[in-house]
Amino acid sequence: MWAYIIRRLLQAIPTVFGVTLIVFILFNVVADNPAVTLLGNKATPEAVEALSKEMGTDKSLPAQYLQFLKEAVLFDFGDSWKTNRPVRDMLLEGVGPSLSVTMPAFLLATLIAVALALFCAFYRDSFADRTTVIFSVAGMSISSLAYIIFGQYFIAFEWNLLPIFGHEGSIRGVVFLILPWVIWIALSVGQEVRFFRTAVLEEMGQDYVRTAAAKGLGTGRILFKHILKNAMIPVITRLVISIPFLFVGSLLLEKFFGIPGLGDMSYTAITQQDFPVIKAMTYFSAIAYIVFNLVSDILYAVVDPRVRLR
Amino acid sequence: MSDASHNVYRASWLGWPARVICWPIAALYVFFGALWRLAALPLLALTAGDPSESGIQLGARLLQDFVLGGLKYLSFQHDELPPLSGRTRKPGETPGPWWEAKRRLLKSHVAMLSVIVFVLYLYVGLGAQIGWLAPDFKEGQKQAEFMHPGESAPADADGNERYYSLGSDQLGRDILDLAIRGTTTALWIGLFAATISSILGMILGSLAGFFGGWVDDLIVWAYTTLSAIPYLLLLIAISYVFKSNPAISEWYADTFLYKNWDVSPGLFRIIVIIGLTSWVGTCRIVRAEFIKNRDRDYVLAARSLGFSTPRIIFRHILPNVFHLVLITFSLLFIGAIKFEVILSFLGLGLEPSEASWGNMISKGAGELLRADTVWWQITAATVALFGIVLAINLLSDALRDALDPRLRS
Repeated sequence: MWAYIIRRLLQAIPTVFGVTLIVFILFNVVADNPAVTLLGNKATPEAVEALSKEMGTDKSLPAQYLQFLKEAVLFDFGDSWKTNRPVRDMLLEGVGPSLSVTMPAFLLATLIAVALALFCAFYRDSFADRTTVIFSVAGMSISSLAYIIFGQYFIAFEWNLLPIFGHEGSIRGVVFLILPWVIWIALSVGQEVRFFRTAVLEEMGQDYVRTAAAKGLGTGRILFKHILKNAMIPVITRLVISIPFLFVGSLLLEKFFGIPGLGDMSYTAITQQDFPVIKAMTYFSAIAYIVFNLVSDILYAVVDPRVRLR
Repeated sequence: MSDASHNVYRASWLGWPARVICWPIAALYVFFGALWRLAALPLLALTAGDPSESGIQLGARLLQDFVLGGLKYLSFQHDELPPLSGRTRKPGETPGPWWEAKRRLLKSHVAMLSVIVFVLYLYVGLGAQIGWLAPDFKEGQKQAEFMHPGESAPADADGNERYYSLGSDQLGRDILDLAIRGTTTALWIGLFAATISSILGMILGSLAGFFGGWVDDLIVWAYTTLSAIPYLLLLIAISYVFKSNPAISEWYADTFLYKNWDVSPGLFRIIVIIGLTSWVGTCRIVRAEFIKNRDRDYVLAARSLGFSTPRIIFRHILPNVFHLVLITFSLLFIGAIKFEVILSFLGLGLEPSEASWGNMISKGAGELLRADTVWWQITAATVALFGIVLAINLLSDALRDALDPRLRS
């Protein structure tokens, strides 16, 4: 087990290396000179040169990449070019608001989706099942922008039920979060229901279910004790894999509702060519992705004894 | 005398009430018959016919099918249509998996309905590209800004009155024309981005799965790296970098795509970026299938017969995997359209003056907040987007049911 974990972590090194390479090529090689972006088009060449020197973008490309790798190994990306504050502080400040939007919404959406999926699978091919499936397909087909714009417009602007925009760190800030939660749930529940329903239905067709039924077990017992346990295997792995994306936050929701989370921050950083923030964001999200992938593989082996970690 | 005989002839011909009733019905029959046939065309093109059949023969068969189908509808025999492929199986010949899949698709009402919707979108998009539909969408009149749906602009100097069925935008452009032009944009993006990424994923996946070893390691490394970065963030980063670098725009202004074919820089950028980054899913699936297939008996047999490796990959294994590529293609298609909308909304996609659903939503979101709520622009774009995404979602489900033998009960 430990050997497996260590080997996987070692295998992750090239991946992290690749991510740094992509980010480096994109921003240090292909992108326009960041000093020009920061100073604007009217800046004098001397000022641009001075700023490039200060930021280290005047060095040779290999030297810049080595600098990037050094920062990555030390987990310290220095100060943001735009706000002049340590990137680490900025990221730590952004995680809270991001998670406050995504985490509760994710948990609620999962609960609703699992309940609906069990319901659908139980009453398979009934009117209720078909209606749910039709609505979830239709819901998946609506643009996420439409959910956000129309949700904000009707619920907050037209009917005045919730505040349109804003964020507050304390418990009173919950009123600002309810609408993003509702929109997230509406956005994601359709897809989840379909996925979970397929997972449950696949288990329902297995031989052991027929055996249990033949032994005379009640439907509820079969559903919750036998099927649910097995159907949860793909569900759990899917959920664990999506956790790192919760940290990054929902870029569009944060942008629309004025939440100072990581998604909005990384968008601003990209459009302002704030390299330290971009590098830190991609680096940490890649690490989170790798770690949670590993966790999901381990969990898979834990819940399903047939799976051996090699 | 000749007048009288003419009258007799016309009078004998069922009289005017019958004409009034019958002609629309006949027209509807021809129309729907043709529609049904045209909707079935892409499916027919997919099915493997006679291996010896040439492209021209296939085209002739499909055309004949089309005409015959319409005539059959006209002659009220539509419940006795000939088998759709027009080719009867020889005795003893077993129907192939594609034939089976086609039969399933044609039997599914949902699938056929979504094919019809998709084909309608194709016609609209193609019509606008050729210039049949929305030919003058750029010539908006300034005084006709924010016309309500169903309003007519006051007559201009030439006495022409313009009717706005879906209203107009700030520049006086007809929203219907904008939505139609946006369909063209969306279709090009979906088609090309999905094709590029499917081909990439197919090639990389088959190489990785077939050869294993360091080839596999390299390709797996490439796609793990790509998927470790949140996808929307990656798209935004690449779009921003490509858009803001003047060297890339200058290079593009010299290519034949821009000079000869008038492909806008935004369109090109979106297609390339989405096409080159979204191949991961296809690659994974194809790789897994190749790993499963490469040690099967038929591959060993092909190898012992001395067939070349490319031939084994492309002629023997790939056809067994292709149905999965087709399903992911349909999902990539709508994925590309959806990401175009988001990128254009963020200002990183098409130029604001170009017609695209993303630009319409982006402008419409601001117009909602005006004192006189201008809702028609954003609603038109949302509904247009919803229609095609829903149709393809349903179609991909039907395709999966029809093509994946594991799911058959």
